[in-house]
Amino acid sequence: MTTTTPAAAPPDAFTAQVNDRLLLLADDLPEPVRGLVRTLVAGPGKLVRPRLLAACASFGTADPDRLVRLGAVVELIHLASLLHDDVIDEAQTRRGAPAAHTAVGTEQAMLAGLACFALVGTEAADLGEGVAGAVSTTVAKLAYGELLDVERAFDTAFPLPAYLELVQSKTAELFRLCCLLGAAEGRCGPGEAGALVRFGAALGVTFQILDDCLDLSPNGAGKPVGTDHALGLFGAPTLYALRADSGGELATLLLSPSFSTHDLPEVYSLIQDRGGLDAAARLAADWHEQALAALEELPAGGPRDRLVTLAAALLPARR
Amino acid sequence: MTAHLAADVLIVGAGPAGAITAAELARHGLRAVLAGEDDGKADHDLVLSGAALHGLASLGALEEVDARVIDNVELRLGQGGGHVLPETVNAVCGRRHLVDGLRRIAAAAGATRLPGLVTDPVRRDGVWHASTGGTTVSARHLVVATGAPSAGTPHATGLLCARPYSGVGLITSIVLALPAPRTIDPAERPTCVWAVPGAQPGTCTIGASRLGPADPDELLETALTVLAEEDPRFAGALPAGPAVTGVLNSGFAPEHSVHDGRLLVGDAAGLVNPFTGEGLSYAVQSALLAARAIADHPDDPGAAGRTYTRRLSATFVGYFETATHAARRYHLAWRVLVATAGDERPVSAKVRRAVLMPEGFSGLTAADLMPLPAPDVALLGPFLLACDEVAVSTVRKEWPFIARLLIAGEQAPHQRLRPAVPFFAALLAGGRPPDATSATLAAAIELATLGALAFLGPMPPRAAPGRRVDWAVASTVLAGDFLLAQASRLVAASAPEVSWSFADWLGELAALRSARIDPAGRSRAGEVFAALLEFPSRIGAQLGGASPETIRALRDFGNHSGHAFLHAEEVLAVRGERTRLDVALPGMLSGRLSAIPDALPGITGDLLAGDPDARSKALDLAVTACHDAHRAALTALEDVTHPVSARMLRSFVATVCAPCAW
Ligand SMILES: Cc1cc2nc3c(=O)[nH]c(=O)nc-3n(C[C@H](O)[C@H](O)[C@H](O)COP(=O)(O)OP(=O)(O)OC[C@H]3O[C@@H](n4cnc5c(N)ncnc54)[C@H](O)[C@@H]3O)c2cc1C
Repeated sequence: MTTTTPAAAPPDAFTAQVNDRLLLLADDLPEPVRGLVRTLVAGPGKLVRPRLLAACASFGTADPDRLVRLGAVVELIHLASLLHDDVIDEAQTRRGAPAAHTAVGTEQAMLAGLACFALVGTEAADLGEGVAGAVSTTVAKLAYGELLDVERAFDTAFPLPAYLELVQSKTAELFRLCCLLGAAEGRCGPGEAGALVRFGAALGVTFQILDDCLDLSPNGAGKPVGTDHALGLFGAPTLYALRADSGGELATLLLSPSFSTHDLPEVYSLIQDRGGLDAAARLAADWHEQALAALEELPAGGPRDRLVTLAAALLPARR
Repeated sequence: MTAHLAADVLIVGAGPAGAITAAELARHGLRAVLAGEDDGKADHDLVLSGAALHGLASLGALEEVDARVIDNVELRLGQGGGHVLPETVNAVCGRRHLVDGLRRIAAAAGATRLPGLVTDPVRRDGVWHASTGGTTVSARHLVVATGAPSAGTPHATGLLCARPYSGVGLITSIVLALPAPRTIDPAERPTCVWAVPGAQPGTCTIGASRLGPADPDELLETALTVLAEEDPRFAGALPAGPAVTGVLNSGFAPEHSVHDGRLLVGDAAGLVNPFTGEGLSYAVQSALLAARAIADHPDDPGAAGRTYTRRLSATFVGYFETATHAARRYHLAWRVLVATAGDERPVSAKVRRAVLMPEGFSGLTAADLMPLPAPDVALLGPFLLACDEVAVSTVRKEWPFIARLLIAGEQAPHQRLRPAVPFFAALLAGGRPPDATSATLAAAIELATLGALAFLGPMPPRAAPGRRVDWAVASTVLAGDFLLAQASRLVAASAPEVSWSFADWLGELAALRSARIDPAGRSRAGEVFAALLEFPSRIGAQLGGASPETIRALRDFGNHSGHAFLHAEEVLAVRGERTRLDVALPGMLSGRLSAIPDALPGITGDLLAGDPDARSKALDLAVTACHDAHRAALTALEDVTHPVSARMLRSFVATVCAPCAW
């Protein structure tokens, strides 16, 4: 399961610089990897993660050039994960273009992801020991999250705590890293940095829960609806509903070998009947609350408002 | 009147693990009391795995137990037909025969045997007290060898059954079958099935195991169905004796091997393969480790327990070391095994071994294999052990099946060629003795090399379309990402100054492989392997403070050794022998690993198999290329002045090239 970023504000100067930096880094990659990365960079990604990083850095004073480089690093981690996720999920499209593995084959796409992770490693090392340490820890957590994500496929009894661990490892961890690096670049004190990191982690969880809700939404934007359900990746609403599925209708439908996106309306109504969407929305609201509470610990003003705006733009409208 | 026995060690449970513990303790001159009653189960045949045989032989017990050797294992994973596991020798013997033989050995060594049940031993003032029959026993150490039912790990518990059959045409091989899942539901549990020929022609024993709740009759019925499907040898099978049932306990975790001062051995420690039910090799090895730990600390049970735990944890990786996610990771392993059943790639073959076969005896490292003088071994051995310890402990909690890859199947000496050796020798070259940080870096290099094998081998073919996970492809990506990420994390934490070079190395490997598989790309087959060994040599030299000339020499050495490695693989593959990477010739050719097609365009495995001329030409090519690379590596070593370093590296590359020895 991979997340897509909803439509956001027009790119500002910073994101343009990050994009340029990504293209520059890609120049060091061999073909066909370079082409794949260029396509991804040119696609309609909204650079949420670099923007989060920069917003956190604005609590202090950061070197603008380093910020751009760091922004490119966190985006590149995201791109590398997308390349590998698409190989695993056999996704057909990515950012409006054919997914890399459909264009160049499984092995080249896998190597492209590896090349990006390697590039992340050299860039991070260039940016200093602290960056390299934090980045490598995050990448290790993401790899673990990827494992959790695959092995729970078709698990209709996936426990909620395990779901939260998954969401924290595969999505929130990278948000957290953005805030951590941003706070460090802005030379925030330990109190502010701690609050920013907690904000990032909670925002990431909220984001993923709502993204899982979108997979069900008949009018959802972004990726094709129902993809995750077809892949057997059941998110918070579904898992909640399965808990209340005493007759087993939902589980049977979800595990049906012939399941397709045509079954989605029925899945939707079964989940709705069992209170899954409401429960997931409450869970997302809890985490959103936590994210905002962490922000409350930060001084009021421009930087904090920027984060509030960013979070609001990021989170799809709540039902 | 009750008799009283004062002993050093009381062993409760007189099955295989208990008897061996008692024998080994008595041989160390300790007073051992072996107490235990017979469980009254019907006798049945047991498979002795290669590792179990090895262990019994080391005790001189093979004659006593009268085992019949069977040197063929037909492995049937999923629906596909069987294929033979290379180099697996097993044997069969009756359980009673085995246990009686081992008890005789214990008695002959001087252990005292007390028949009867032991209930609730208590410890007072550092001494254990227990009674059985009319005898009370006191002892400083207590070993629990009471078998599976005593363990409390519900997530790792199941059922094992065995039953004799007649009317079966199984003569020269053991069959091990792991059927494919029937559904996509991860809650489904596999039934593992095996069959071994009996002493009388036409008879066999069929066994089955399953985790979770199971019914013995249903389990054996499933077993027969699985075997008879597509295999006429089992079509006429009829029960020829009672079924035997026991508890399967695979809950081993090193930290639970000592409970309240008692050392747990064998099944009681949860040392059983959850797929195959194999437990005897573990019973033997854990018994020996426990006895030796006690013999090392006869007066200090606490120290004996700690030593035992440490040695166990270096020897075995459990299948379920953490209860969280245990079921899902087990299910993942099953799906991957079945999905990659016919797969020729190096990693798949290694995974099969690591998951299905018991670990070998520990303490064997590259140092044993390479012809090195004792002082060099004394230098290298502890370093490699430390490296293994870091590597295994880095991944065992999160993904124990991967950790098994690092220590499983390490019996065959040729498998012990590892990048940590040139790394160590290169460190030495600068004259600075390697420290603990270096062992961590060595572990990172080894983890990364394993991860690189996932990425740099050919990809498995895509699974047939359908509503499923493509387990073969997914597991390749997962394992590669997981291992490389863990390796990078270790580097950043232990040797940050190497982070950049390490990441750059991974990028280089990706680029080389990418160019190799690109039809338009130009990359020699050996370059990936050259890069794999060049890095440890170069980084070792740099960290060890070697001079620029030495660093250059060691880089060259690593490069040439990598090429030599590939060509030696080709030689083995063309000859039809087992390769170090466990990949056969067709896989090497189709995966674009081999250099042979570069010189003989259009060559395929089939062509080579059917054409002796082409074969000998291919063999000549590979042997010549291997010799050239060997010579170049030795030439590079002329600039390495440190005698020990140069000696180790010469030995390393000679071992690499051993298949094409002059
Ligand atoms: C049906 C079946 C088939 C199997 N087939 C194979 C095979 O083919 N190959 C293989 O490698 N493994 C096989 N196994 C597993 C193998 O038998 C065990 O791993 C092995 O026997 C473990 O030895 P152990 O000494 O740890 O335990 P056990 O063999 O279980 O011995 C424990 C002994 O302790 C005794 N005991 C228990 N409690 C007390 C007490 N309180 N006081 C005194 N005595 C006590 C028991 O009666 C028993 O004699 C099979 C198991 C079963 C059940």
